Amino acid sequence: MGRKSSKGQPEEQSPIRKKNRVRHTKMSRGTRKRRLSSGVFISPSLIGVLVFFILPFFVVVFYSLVDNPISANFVFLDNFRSIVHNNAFQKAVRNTLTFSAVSVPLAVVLSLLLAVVLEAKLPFRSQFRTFFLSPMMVPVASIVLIWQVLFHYNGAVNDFLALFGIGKIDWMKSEYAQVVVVILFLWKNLGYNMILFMAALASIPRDILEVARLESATPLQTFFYIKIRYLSSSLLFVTIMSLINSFKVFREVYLLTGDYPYDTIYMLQHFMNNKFKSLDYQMLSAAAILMSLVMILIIGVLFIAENRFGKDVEG
Amino acid sequence: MIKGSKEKERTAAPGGKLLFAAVTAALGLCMAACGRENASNSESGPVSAEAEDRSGFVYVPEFISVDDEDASLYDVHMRGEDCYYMSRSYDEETETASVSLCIWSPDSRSSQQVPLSLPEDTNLNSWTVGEDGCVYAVLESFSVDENDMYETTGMELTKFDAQGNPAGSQDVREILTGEDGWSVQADMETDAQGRVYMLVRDEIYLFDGDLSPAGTVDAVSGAPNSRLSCWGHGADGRVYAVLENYGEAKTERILYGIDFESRQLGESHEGFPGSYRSTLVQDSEGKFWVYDDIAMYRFDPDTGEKEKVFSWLDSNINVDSVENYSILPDGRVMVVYADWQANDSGVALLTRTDASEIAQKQQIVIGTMSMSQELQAAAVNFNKSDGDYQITVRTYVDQDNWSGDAYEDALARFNNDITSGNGPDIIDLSSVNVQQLAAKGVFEDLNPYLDQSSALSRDDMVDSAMAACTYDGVLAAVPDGFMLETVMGSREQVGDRMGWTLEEMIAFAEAHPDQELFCDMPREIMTECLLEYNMDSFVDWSEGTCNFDSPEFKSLLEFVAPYPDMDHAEWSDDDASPPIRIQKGEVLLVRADISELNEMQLYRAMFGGDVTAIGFPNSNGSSGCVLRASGCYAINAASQVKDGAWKFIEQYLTREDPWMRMGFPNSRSRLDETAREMLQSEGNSSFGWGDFEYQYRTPTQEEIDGIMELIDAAVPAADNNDQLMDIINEEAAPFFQGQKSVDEVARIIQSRMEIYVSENSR
Repeated sequence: MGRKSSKGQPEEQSPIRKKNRVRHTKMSRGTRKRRLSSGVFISPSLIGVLVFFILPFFVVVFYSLVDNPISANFVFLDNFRSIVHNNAFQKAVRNTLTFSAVSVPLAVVLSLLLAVVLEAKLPFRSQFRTFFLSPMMVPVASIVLIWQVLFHYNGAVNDFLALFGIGKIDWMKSEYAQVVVVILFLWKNLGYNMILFMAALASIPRDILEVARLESATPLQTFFYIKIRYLSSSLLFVTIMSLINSFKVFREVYLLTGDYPYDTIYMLQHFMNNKFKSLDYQMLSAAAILMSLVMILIIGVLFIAENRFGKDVEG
Repeated sequence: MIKGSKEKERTAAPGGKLLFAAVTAALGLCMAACGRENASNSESGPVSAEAEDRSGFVYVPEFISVDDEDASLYDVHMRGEDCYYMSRSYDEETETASVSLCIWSPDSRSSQQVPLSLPEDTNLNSWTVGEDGCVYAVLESFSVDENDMYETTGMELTKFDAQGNPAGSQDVREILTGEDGWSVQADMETDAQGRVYMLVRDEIYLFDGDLSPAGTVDAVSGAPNSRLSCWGHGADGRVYAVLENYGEAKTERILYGIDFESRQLGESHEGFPGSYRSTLVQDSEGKFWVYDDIAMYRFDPDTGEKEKVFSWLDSNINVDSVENYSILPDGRVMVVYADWQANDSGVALLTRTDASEIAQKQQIVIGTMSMSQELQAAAVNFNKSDGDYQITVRTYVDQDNWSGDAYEDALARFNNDITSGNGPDIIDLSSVNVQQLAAKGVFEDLNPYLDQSSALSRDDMVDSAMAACTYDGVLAAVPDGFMLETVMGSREQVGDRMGWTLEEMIAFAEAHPDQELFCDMPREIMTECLLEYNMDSFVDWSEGTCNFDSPEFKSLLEFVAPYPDMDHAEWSDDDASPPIRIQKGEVLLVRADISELNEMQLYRAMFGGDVTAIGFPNSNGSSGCVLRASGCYAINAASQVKDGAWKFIEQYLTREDPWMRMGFPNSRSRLDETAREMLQSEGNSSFGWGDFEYQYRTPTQEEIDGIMELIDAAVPAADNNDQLMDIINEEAAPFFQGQKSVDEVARIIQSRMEIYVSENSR
């Protein structure tokens, strides 16, 4: 753009400015072309995400605002009101939150400890690593079988306890059910989290740790003031992954106990699975939206925390 | 980066960019083409997915009657272009029976008769026709003793020449006599060389052209869980057979050519389509035709591909009446049918016609889990009589899927259709969760249709039957009929009240410790009797609460605990039958399924006096008689052809000969008419159960009134209790096995039930 003269009239453009303007126009056209071609190349993925993620999400929102999937009469927030007052939903939310609140921190802390321990030059380190990773390779059906053999009312654990005179415990149909599920979750996921932390620990700059050691910092101080800060992004990632995996434990629980398990291990996914089977899509959708809002909140908090504690160590 | 290399890079890129652009465009086109299979159907208006059959060709039938009242079209053989059947007549004057071979030709549309010279005192056990027109028959000779009892004295495979004279025979009595001494019926085929193949219990006996035995082919040798499902002669003169192998989850079928010389099954072709009722027919192109309940198919043995040729309903033929068929050289399909219920038999010539040349009707889709004879007949009758609408049937159960999930898979497919807007126009309610669908508003309210109907009258219908199909004021279906389930006991012992509570029933049992409550009833059935119609005692659906940890429920578990479970229940053939044991006073109650107005006398005979239909126990001691409606067809609320759907339902409910109806008719006038007929006729039926035999007599008015009273007092069968019973049976098992206490299992049952009831509270 030409500069205006003191009288408000634009100045005559110099040839150099004109040339610059022409070059700028050519670059814009080129940029537009590049952007267009980029858009074309990215469109298959974009269409896929749109069709399989974005649009279904809006369909879910639609279902949550109608009375049933067949007549589709708009009822606004009635489904949300109904579901919030539903005892089964409340129980499922309570159980899911309790389970996640217990299992996710345990998974993060225990896997971090394991990673720190295995970082030390111990003998049979790789064998231990393999040992902790092996549950990831076990198929779900085998896991269910193993757990049934162990924790069934007539299973191996009760047989073992009987040797000490302890009476049989119905593990999956008593207050101990959540304990069993937490153990199952930790057994399955510790290895993966441990590997992630081990990789993150290996990437901490050695010179910083050297300096800390020379400055007479204790191992605990080194861990909390240096390592944790460098692990903040990994901590965030592992926490989010553990949170997601805590929901996936439904698969094993469902195979072990069916549609309607003992009430302490009745999770949100049980509720939603049963609602799907009974064609109650509107309640299912409302529950899914509420759950996603909570997930967004939790992950948002985690991101803020990570941003605050880890920003000074980011590259 | 160096400027020149940048330019080089830029000039090298366009070729790669073009390639990527082409790939992207191809991917985009593929995605755009997804799910467009039925696009043309959806654009053409209210026509369902089945219409894709009609968008190409249709086989238009021409029905031709066979004018021979002595003709037996139930045993028909096809050879070449002709149809062969037997005509039997009896001369009263000479007291002789005669049998003639009839040859019906589609060209002349008339039959030529060839009398067969049969020896005296012989019957035709089975027969077939060779390519030369000779008849090969198994003649069973018999004698009659002084008690008019027939005894087989011989069985001979006999060849009759073209003039109907015997031209050779072979004794086959040993082959066709079963282990119990009774004769069995053979199925026979011939090949182009005039050799005979006789199928007896999955073994094929071979006979040369002179009828001398030539060995056997053990079709299922080395193949357990297999059987020969169908066979026939091919256009190439050979005999073919289909072996069905019942796997764990699926049935496989393999087509074999039978090798006469080596006495074994010859070359095989896998992937043969379902054909549990069909004869094998090969056309001039070497393809095999076979049919099932839905359609006719053509199988190419070389490629293993099958194609659907036509649908029976589209051609207005009731597949249950199809006796045999052949493919004529000009491509027409000749079908011989014999419908003994409709008293209609003849030949249908089906001609392949472009669908655009025939008058299009609006399609109505009926959705059902499995096709039934009744539905088949109703659909065919409607299609033949109505000029505006055409019925097609969509079945959901895969008949070849033997896995335990077959029904669950079918239900999932049905639910998907409903929720995706692709549901059938008419829904068969016999195997779906009606309450669940009604709560979702799937069903059209039939009250206005019934009120405006000139063919049906609401006042004539049975109130309790109509109540069974009404959900929150919406009439989902008008039932065609219904049956009653109740519990019968001696009036002297149970009183004359038609209902009791669970506590009263348990007290009654405990008051008679030396007698069984029900005869040989396993625990699971007992639990079902006590609970299935009594759930309201433990569940409050409106509040979403339940009390399965109550003393009442625990006492129920303790009450049924002594009964043996189904796997360990011991029944001996030497034991007296339940009716005899009731007569002896060893058993107190009997579970009764009532479907006739004259059945009260049967229970009176069992108990030796007046009986009371005390019914299943329930929460308030009201009527314990349960009504199960049948023949219920609902209209999909999303259907575009509701008027046509109602037309079908109306015609179905007003059909003249409802021979396949189960139980009582949903019509007061018909019930009254049946009662009048029963009161005026002598009993001509009997009932047998083990060593108990009862000959029905003319019922009394009081007995008929008793059944009528039961009908009026009956309550609809409980829906949606299967999940509850499953949980109870599963969790109560350790208590019954002595591993847990009743308190423990009641606590667990309560925990699980609470979740279920909370989820599904209304």
